[in-house]
Amino acid sequence: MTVQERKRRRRRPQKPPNGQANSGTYLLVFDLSDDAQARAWEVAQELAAQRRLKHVLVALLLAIHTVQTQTGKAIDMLQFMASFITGLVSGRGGYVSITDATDPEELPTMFAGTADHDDPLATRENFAVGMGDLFSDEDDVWD
Amino acid sequence: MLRYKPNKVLAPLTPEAYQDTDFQWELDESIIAWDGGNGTSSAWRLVNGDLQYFMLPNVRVPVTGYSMNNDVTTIGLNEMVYADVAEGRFAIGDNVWEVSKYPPETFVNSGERYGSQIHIFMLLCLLAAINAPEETPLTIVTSAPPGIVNSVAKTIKQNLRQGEANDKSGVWTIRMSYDKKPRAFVIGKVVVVPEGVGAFSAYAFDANGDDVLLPSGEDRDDLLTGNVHIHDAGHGTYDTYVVRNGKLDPESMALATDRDAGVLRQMIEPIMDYIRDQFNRAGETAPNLRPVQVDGWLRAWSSGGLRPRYARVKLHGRVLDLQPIFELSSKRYGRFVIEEKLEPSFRQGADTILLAGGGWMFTLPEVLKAYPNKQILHPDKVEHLKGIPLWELNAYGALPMSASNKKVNRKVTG
Repeated sequence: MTVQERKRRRRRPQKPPNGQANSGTYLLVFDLSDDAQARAWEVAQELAAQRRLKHVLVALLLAIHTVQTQTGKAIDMLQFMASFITGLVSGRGGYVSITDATDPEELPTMFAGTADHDDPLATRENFAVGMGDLFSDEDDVWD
Repeated sequence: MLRYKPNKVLAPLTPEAYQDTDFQWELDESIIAWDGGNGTSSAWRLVNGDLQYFMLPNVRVPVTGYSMNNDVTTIGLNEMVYADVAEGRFAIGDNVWEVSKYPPETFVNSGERYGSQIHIFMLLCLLAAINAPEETPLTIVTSAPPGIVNSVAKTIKQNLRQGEANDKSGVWTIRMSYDKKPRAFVIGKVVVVPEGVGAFSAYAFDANGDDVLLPSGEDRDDLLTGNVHIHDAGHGTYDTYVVRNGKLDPESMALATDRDAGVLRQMIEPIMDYIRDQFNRAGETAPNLRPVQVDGWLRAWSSGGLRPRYARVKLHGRVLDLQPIFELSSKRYGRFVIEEKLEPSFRQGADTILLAGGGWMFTLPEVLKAYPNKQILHPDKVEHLKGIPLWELNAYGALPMSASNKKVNRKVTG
């Protein structure tokens, strides 16, 4: 190791090999040549202007922590993000996201009704007639 | 002085009815739809095209009604409505248990309550509240849980038609605290149907008994054709049965009533246990809570959009924040309903699940989230039921049911 290398190592804290940060900071670098990251950068800028970027990121990380704590297992990030955003936008939080690992037991019931459908007006007439004549003058109360 | 006035709702009619120059109302003012439920009691009627209704919690408390004369002082004047009937004087309405040294009287989850004194008392209070006519014999259209309707229908009819003098006159008198003289109502006819029939009618017909079609928007023609499973989540019971192409499935009605799946068992009792436990843990005596009290809190929370400020209550000199336990109970009840009631219905081939009853006020968001692609019918999905609360569907629905029944039988015999 040269003298220059030794000096550089003293100035910079040693970076963990797995991408984690040593202190309470983390530098995010957006690759603006990538469309998705460029759009994410724009949203990050908007949120930063409202001083809400940190809140949003912390909330998202906290949600992951909560899910992992409650389920006791590490979650599939791709599946989590897809369900999270879909649920957020459509309000359909209960819809099962199907992956090749999904257990068939977890699938919603396959039964979606019956084939025997009467005419809608006949259905209503059946219902009204089926009650009998509720307002007839016959009085059987004291029988 | 507090005085009851009927609530008003614009009568839901089909657009054709509005344009019909020969239009006539099928029902007159003497037809009263009444849902004398375990939790609340409601009565509805049509008055000149206006729907009028009133709802009371199913509880009464013996009181003296004593208060100082206005000339003496205003101390002792309280915001309480009471009613004088043959058995005595009783305060009614929410929080009445706080105004008397006597315990509140209620009668829930028992077949014997149908046609009992308190059951009839609640009806009389409602008749007074909606200003039902006194000069004309009234027709009362009411319901009972499908599992017991066969055994209680005759008792309800006979007891109401007896009248307070037991002379088969059907005459009952009641004097409200704000009335100068007693009112005398004559019960001329009583119609009893299974609970849920009114709710089905509310979706199927308008207030004048005309057909309302409910296109599904997909390949199915109409939401009420095929297998419709009625799920009535009431205070005391949860009733489930099947209507197949408009025909009631009698086999499903025999086992329809579940006394352990209503709001009382699934939400109110666990909430009461939690509150008692919290007081005990704080080293304080557990309060003497009553189900009707917690039911009143839950109704207030529901009316307030399930928001935290409507979950704050005063009890034993303490302010309680019940939002977390209300939310938890709602979610657990929702999960229970999905697993124990809705999943079996879908497995049995339900095309549509038709909802009625106040229990859905707490569980509907959870249920809709769980079934984004299923047909779950509730008033917000149907134009002609906007403004009719879920818990009033059975009571209100008895009016469209009566109107359609009159029409169809006129057609058959005419």
